Amino acid sequence: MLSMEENPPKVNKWDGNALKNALDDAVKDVLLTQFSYVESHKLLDGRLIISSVAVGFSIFALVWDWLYPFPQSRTVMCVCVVSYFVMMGVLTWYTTCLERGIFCTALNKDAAGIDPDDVWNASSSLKRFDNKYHLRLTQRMGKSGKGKEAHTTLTVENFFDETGRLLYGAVAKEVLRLHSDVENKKN
Amino acid sequence: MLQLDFLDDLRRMNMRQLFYQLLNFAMIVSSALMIWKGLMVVTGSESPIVVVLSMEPAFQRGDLLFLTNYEQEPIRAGEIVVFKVEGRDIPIVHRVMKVHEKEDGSVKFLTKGDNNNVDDRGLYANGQAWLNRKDVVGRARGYVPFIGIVTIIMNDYPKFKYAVLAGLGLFVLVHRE
Repeated sequence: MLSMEENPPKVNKWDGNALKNALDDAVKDVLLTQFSYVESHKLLDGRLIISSVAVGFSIFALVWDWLYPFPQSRTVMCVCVVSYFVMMGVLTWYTTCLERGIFCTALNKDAAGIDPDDVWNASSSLKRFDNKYHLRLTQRMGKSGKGKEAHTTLTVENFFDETGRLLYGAVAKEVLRLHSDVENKKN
Repeated sequence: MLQLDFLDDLRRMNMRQLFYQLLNFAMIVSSALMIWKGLMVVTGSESPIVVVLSMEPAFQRGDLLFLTNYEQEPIRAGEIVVFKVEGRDIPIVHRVMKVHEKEDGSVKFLTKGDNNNVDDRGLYANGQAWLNRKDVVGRARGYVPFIGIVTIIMNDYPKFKYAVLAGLGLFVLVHRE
């Protein structure tokens, strides 16, 4: 299978959502391949668990109502419906407060395996119909707990060619620059 | 080659992201399901929204009726009720003509469609002359005109229904947030 560097994705250049996803994927690819970081799936896993629980309630309600038709199933239905919407609320809170546009968490594992890892978080935003892609990279040192961050704004059209193919090299350059900006900041 | 372009997004996803796409689809279906069940609980009716097939001039074919089915509220002659005959799936929207009530609270009704010349005894089950409380799905409380035509079309042409649902489902599964 070709790596993203060899075969960058081609997207519909007029679709802002597709552009953002492609840029996010590229940034993630650079972080994981250029440095020896390991990806942490904790954030996405949390979202998957919350969604699965919500769907679980819904499936349970469906089966229960099928087995014990309506008037008897009233209390169970009530509980399931309320729980489902509570879980939806939890999911919204999770996405808004905890995730906040973070699409990649990478861990800089300590070679000796003794010290806790440094956590790198990459988050981005691209407003609808806008061409400014805001990228933010943060580093939280495992040992000291201190955090450093740097952000940059990229003009989307500079990173895709005429056909909508991603310009991996250009993205990699920006990410590497941002990465060293963060590392070199004095805390 | 061209028609498989839209699958590109899926191909570039890892297991977790694929699972999330599936969950996304499941959540949309679940939301619709939960809203329906929620309505069932709130109104007390097993089918809180029905489509009218014939009840002119009060309702036109394709009107959407909103029902409630509260036990405490008595059913009176002149009201429009929705009932199901035992053994048949389709709910019928007709008006109550006669009500017989016993001291213990049990009731029997006779119904007739406004547009029909005779009462509904021909529609009831074999040997049944009256409807009971348990046959009633609910009483009409409000309506939205015309929107139910979509449901009627989808039921008359099931292939159309499956095509629309499949298309929507596919779109949600393949489209990345």
